Amino acid sequence: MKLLDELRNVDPTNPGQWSRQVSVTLACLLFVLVGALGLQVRVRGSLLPELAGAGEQLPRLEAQLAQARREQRQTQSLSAELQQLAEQLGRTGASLPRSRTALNLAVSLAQGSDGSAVAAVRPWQPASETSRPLPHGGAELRLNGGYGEIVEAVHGAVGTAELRELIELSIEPGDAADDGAVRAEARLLAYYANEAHGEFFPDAPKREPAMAHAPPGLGGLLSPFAPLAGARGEDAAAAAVDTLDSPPRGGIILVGARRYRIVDDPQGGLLLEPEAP
Amino acid sequence: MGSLLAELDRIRKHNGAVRDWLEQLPEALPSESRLTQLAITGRAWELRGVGHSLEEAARLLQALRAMPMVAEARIEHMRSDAEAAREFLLVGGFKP
Repeated sequence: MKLLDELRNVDPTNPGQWSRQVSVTLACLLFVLVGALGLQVRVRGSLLPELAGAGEQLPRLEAQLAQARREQRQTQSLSAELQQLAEQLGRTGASLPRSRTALNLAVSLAQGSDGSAVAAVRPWQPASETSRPLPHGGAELRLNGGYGEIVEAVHGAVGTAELRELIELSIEPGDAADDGAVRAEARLLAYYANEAHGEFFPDAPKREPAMAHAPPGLGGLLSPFAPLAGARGEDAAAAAVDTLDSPPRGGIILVGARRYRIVDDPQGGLLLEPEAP
Repeated sequence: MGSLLAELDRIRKHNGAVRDWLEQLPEALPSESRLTQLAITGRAWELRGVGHSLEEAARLLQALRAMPMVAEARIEHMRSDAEAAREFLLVGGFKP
């Protein structure tokens, strides 16, 4: 109470007469007042605008967070879908070579053509290029033999684990019209893995499966090209069976005007031996 | 990768359709007819042949249309040579 009394009776015109207690109290009050004033100035001048700016940013940050969560869910969903597709691809049993040229393809086909109706193979490119989802190379097969042999050889060439598509096929009666033999030309494309797809496919086997062993049971097909009178039926079937026992005619690849025979080299690879003119 | 699977499916279906069609063709051909040329380009096919009567070409057309892999088949051309074999040209397409 003494301090309050002293404060009431203090003479503002004569600070020299103030007691020490009053001077300290007034100094403390002045310090608190100045401090409060300074804080007020700082809050209004700097912190309040920052707070207002943060308030404006909040909806944008919330939107970004929601977007990130959506993208995370999509990524998880796509990842699951990708795994499912990879499993489906695995079940197809397909294999794609990583890269191959049309010449490699022709060599590979010629290698597997021994004993089939394939007489020659050459690299081929389609005249009008349409958009295709994978890199590809083409080959042209020339075939001679019974109708069933031709069908068997063509589908032996495209029916491998590799992805191949029959693009063109033409069949005509052979030169000897009476024996029911036909000649044919088949053009096919083989597809290769690009960088995006390569990891999902196993490496294609290096050696071509023998076409003669591909789809069995077609060699005995009756030929729709057989002569009109009497050549179909038992005679034609017997002729078709006979052609199955004929010696191998395949293994030739044509590169430009040159003919090469495909032979195995001692190291397990392949060699192209030029045929004597 | 989905497009790759679809492409894989398309190619295998196409190869299978052509193979089945080639296998069934001899049975579909009337006994008095024979083919002189067969051509396949993509999904389109073309059959040239001769027979003793034009009805045989019609029967072949019917048989072709009944095949499950055939989308369409029609007679493009027919020619009757006096007392000789009748020529026909049938064209059509495989189902996609």
